Amino acid sequence: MSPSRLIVLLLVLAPGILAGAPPSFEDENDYYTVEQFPVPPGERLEIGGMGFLPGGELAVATRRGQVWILENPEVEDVEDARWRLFAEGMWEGLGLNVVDGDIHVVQRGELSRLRDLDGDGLCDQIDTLCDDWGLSGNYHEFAFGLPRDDAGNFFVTLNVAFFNPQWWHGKSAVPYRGWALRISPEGEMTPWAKGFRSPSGVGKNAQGDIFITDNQGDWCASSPIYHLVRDGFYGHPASLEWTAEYRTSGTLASDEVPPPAAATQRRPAAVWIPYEWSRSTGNMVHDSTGGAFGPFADDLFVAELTNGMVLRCNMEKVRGEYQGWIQPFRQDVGSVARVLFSPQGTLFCGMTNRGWGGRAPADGLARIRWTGRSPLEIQDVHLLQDGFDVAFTKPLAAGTALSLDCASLYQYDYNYWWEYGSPPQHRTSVEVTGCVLSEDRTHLRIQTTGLTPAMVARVKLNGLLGAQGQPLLHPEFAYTINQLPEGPLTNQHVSKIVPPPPSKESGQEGWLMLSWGDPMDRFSSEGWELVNAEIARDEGTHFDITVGNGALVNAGDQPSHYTTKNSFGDCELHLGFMLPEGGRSGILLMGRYEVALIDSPKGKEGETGLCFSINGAESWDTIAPRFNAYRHAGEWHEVDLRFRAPRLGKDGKVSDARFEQILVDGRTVLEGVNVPGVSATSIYETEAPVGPVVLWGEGSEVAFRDIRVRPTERGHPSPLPRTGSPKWSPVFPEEQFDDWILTGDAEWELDDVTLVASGPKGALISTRNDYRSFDLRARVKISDGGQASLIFRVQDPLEVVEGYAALINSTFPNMEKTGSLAGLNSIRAQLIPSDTWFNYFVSVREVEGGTHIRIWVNGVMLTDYMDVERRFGPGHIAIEHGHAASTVSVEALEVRVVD
Amino acid sequence: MPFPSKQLGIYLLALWAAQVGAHAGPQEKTHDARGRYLELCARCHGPEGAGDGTAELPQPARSFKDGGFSYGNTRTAILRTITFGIPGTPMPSHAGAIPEVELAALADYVISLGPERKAVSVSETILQITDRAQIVRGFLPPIIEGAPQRTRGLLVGLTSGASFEYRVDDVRFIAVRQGDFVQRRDWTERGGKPLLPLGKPTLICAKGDPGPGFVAVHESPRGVKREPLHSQLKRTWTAGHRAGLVYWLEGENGAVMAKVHEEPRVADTSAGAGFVRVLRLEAGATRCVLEFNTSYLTQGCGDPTGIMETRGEGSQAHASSRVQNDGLQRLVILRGPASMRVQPQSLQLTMEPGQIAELEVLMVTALDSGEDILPSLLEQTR
Repeated sequence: MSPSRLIVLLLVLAPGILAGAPPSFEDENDYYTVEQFPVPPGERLEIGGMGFLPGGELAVATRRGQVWILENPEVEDVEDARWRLFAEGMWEGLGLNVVDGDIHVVQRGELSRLRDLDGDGLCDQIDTLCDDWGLSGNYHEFAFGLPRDDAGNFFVTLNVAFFNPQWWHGKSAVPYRGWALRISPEGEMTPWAKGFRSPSGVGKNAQGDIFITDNQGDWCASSPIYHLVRDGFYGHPASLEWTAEYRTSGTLASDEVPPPAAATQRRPAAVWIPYEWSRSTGNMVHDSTGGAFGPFADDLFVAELTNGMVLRCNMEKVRGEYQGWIQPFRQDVGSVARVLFSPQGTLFCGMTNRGWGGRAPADGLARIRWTGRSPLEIQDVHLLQDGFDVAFTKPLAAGTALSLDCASLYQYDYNYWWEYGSPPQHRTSVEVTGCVLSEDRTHLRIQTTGLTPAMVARVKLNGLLGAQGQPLLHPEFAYTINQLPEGPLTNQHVSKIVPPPPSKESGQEGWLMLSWGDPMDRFSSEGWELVNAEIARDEGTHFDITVGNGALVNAGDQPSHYTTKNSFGDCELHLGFMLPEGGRSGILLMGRYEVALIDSPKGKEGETGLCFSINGAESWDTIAPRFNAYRHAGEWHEVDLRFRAPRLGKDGKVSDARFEQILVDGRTVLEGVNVPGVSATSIYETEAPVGPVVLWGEGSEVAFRDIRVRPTERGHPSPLPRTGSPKWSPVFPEEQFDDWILTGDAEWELDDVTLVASGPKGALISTRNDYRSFDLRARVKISDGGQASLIFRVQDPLEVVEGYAALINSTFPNMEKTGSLAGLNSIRAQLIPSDTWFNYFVSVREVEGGTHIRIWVNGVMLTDYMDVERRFGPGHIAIEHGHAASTVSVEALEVRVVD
Repeated sequence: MPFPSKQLGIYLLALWAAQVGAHAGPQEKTHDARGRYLELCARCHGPEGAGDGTAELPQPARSFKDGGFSYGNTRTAILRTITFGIPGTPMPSHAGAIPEVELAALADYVISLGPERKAVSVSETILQITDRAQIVRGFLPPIIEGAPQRTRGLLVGLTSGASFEYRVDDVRFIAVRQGDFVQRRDWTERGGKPLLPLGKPTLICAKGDPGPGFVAVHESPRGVKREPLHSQLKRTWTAGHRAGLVYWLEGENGAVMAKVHEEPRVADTSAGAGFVRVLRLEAGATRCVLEFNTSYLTQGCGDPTGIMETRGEGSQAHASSRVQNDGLQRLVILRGPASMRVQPQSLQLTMEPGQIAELEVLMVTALDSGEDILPSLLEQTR
């Protein structure tokens, strides 16, 4: 359409037409009716899949694992609907297709073919075509489907799981969660594409290409519609674990840091549905009715649960890739999860929202039919370099006068990050510079000062009326501009990588607060004191010491090093330190690899070496920091470092120790430094897999504070919990809830996986009472001032819960903190802050010399006690809740019986 | 003095009275929750929960009237969202802001603003077998404490009230139950919950964690290699009172060693009641020696060894045993082709390519009268 053939009209609308627009024109019901089918009495049809049988009957799969058949879907009066049950006993049908007359259903655990062999109208044979994907048991592991491509291959999508404790991070704990799978007609599965979160809708456009909808959440900014491409990565990192690359390297994708593939391989959404239009998207289907459904042939119709409507969408290929626009189509339908056209041109809407929520009706079947009246609607939208060409279903009113106000437009993009969804970002108004109507008044060309790719354009058409004075039924649309038709290609996405937001965790999980509580308890030292210290005014080479608890200072006679009693390998370390003038100390990781602490204020660089150098040995050089981050004597500096222990194999060293990062006051001074051997100051001659943290105390005075360490598991910075390990089993299986033994008056609440005790003192005790040699593990959290214990070998009778007790206590004022074995080994350091999850591990063995009890907290052994008296024989396992002002939370309390 | 003291006194008295009143009656709980709602929620979610609050937000707040919730609409899920907030959205954490009991009341109030919920009653989720056998797939909880859960499980329910529990990720027979059939807990909340089989277990194989159903025995000059076979579920079927399953025995390289048609049945004899597994094996393209795991038949019954006896009878072989325990006797009959070799924990079959073999594994529990009822049982169950 060339501009010369367009009539440009710039004037004001006739006010009479505007005011006189009859309200009925705005009623979608005039054009498309919605009818709700009654369902069989006493039944609930939570529809997850639909398909037509050769005879025109409609088969629907439900989340209750049934298949119902509606024998007369096109019946005139829906009250005359005839339903019959075809199959039951399946597990959650969230996709259905009919192939050569056979109903196929994707269940949670398999793709199945259903057959009625004896012709009695009931399914009597279910063939498992494919079950090559994992189920961990998490509720969120839905499987969706089930369109086929032209070659007959099925497409199935698999959700990631959400489980405690970090329930906001989707996980792929078993193969292919977060993937789309292609399954051949013979049942052969090919992992097809990855990066999905909750891809509940799979559909096909008129060209036969497969599209997938996803649901807003972590790594998914809003509701996208993706064009499915083999090996594509669509953004959610959890699924990456099942790629060859991640499997061979043994690494896991971070829950919070975007994976490298996000920048290099991520596929864009063809359409981003604005949040206010879709909050839970179902499937989509194209209008294949050849006009029987009105003027929208080939358009995609998209199911939407939360807002209870159907949306309409169309795409075009720009620079070789699909992108397009969307708008609401028919509202007030119900929680539509599935849409499907009948050959007669009726749009069937299967509904369900159990546990997800959405508009009423919550379940059942509805149908949308065209009344035969054509609405004035946007027929299609075509992206231009500087605007849009908008086609209408019918001409606008003759004499329509257009001003620049006839279209208003803004653009926005999203954040690609681990948080839940993304608000629109960078919202920018785009100036409309021209509105041009075609001669036949069916096309509007909107010109702007310029559109930006990798942004969504939200366009509203204002005051446009049809020949009968009716307004546009839906005057707004959202166009996802991944690329403009011309100009350089952008490598940006609408959903843009942004720095990860702060972790939702308190930041304290996994840390051991070595200097909280009794700061001497977890260290070997001589000549160190807990005091307040500041640099002496008269003599800057010393501290003034006063009573207090602000600093650990080597102010005594002949002080030793300050050495942790425990050994560590890979870890993170935090501490604060302060030096007097001319002071010198050091942090020796594993007692071997030194970060030098030297009073080296600015201007003294190079004289005696810089603070935060990694101290070399004779065989290798000292490595200086990138810049001098040391400020001044008498000032506290905060050091954070991440350290990787050397890997020592049978035949020698596999890899060097490595400082991954050293930060001072939050700024990185060194990164990725391999240390080929021990430092000159090392207190050991040879390398080892683990060793203590040693704070140098034999030089000048030095003050330390807030020393904390977080052991990090080798190679797996965020190990996934694995289920199904054969040896571990829950101490309190949920399904035996009714059999749990309770004593005292504590209130116990089980929320999914978290067991929480509050109220007065009381205990929860295993039914089994013969635990002798075993390992016990749990994730535990205790409130401020709270107290609890894991008690094992609890003896019958149970009136008094007596046995060995591993204490759970952060701030309750007694000297037995978390990690203590009550009465037998006292841990006085408050290693775990209150309200912070930690991992408890207890090992009990009956050995020759007695009962050997060891207790680990976050992987660090705190108690190693041999009870030569064998105080308690085999018995129960219990959790005891201490007192009314306490709340204890326990997860995954599991036991592994050794004999 | 900023306040006339008398007026302040009256004001405080009135305030006290109002507070006492506010906490007095049972109806006031809603009022409290409503008050908390207006205080904490309405600015974003609107006074009636329509998502139309006055706060300017980067994205609209949820309308509770629509009933949709980001992390599920169960009470637990909503309480969790209120307590912890939703990262990345304006929805803040309310942990510690108000007492937990009020958080719970607030969650109930928020739910009350939404569409009416159709609660799923327990009775609605209980499946009973009536006039025809049924098979239910789902997530099976550990059958006993310490046993693994089965994320792919299967229950075969027969009209007699017996049900048979299998794991089907690798088909293995786990248990026999008697009584009601199953409660479909996966029909509640968001789905995905384990089934709750209702029948009382009358036999549990290997503490709920039996080994592979079949092992291929490869004999070579260097020795014997025993290869556990993967039993891949291929089909389930029902026909009137009967039901069964089909699975393929796959070797390490995926080769199909045999196809197995298994039908569990009830064995009701004059001697006692029990069950029988009827298996039809179709050998694959190569000759193989298969071991069928029968260890569950003799578990927990004293010393089972040395009591199996095999009798050839035409093309069939019988093996039978009797084990006693607490006044009961458990009688086991194995029937198979003449080539069948019975061992204490298994039976061995040599399968020629394409050969079809029928196996019957029957177990009956009867009162131990001291009388040998095996012969009559053999006769009855033929």
